[in-house]
Amino acid sequence: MVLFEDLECGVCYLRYSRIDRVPRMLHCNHTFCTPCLETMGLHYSGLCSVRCPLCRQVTCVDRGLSLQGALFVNSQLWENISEEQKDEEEEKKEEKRNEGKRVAFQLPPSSQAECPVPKQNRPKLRLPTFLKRMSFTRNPEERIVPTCNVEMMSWRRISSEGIF
Amino acid sequence: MASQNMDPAAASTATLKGSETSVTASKGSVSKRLQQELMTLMMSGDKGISAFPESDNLFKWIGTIDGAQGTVYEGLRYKLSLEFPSGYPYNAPRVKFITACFHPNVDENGIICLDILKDKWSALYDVRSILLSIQSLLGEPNNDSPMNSTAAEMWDDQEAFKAHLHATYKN
Repeated sequence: MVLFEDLECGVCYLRYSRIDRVPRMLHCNHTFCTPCLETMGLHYSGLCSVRCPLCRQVTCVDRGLSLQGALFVNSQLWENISEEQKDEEEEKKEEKRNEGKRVAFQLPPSSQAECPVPKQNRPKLRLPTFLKRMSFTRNPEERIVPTCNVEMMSWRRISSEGIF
Repeated sequence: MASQNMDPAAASTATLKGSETSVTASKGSVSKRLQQELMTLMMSGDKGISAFPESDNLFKWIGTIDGAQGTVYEGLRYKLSLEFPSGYPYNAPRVKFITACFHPNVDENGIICLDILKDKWSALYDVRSILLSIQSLLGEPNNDSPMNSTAAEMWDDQEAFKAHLHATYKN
């Protein structure tokens, strides 16, 4: 019915590995990865039984034994896994890339941080106007020397208003 | 590694088998398998069946089945919905007819009585095998436990069945 590569578990479609997805054989000699067998295992009063997805034969494991301790590893697949270790490294790199994508998802918060920027623009807009008034006041001082005192007073008033 | 996680599908399975079921499949692995199934289904040249995820939800698909040649359903097309639980493929997806189907093993709401979708489910089944099995069920019903008694009684008279089928068919 379902044809799949020998190097992949027929249930989860993931490649076997020597660390997580170890290929183990049920008593009917059909092989699946350890996580899938753990998931398919039924625990009842200390016993663990797994029904083979391929032939429906039930494999029972005695008490005190886990699936990993009770089931044989498929040695042929195990020997072929060494070539696939590179694929595992590639998968890890993909995971890192996914983490990079997560960083990308953090950009929205940074965009929120940019919101205060418009607020900062507002006070800056006022400063140029104030500076223009300052420069405008100084020019008449230089031109009209006799009324210097009067100009000074007006300058002080403008500056005080600006401060408030 | 396994942890106890009860969900409706697992609970029903536990009730049937009188034991607990551990479901540790993560949505990441489920998505990967579904994506791979979609690729396989689109690349294979299966005639009479098709399926594709609904809008952006990878866990809900819409499938179509054409009646097989040589059966009373020949020339008719049926639409189905497939909802994949988080425990897929260790738990069976929920499949039902969207198009009304006059069949001994299909009730008026589109619920399908098929053993591989219930207690005979296997983690090796996929969308393709499910659709092919339902297509096969159309031509070879199980009249011993009908959900539509009218259809079951009428099945022996194929001519009358076909006439009634085409009269009531709405796509």
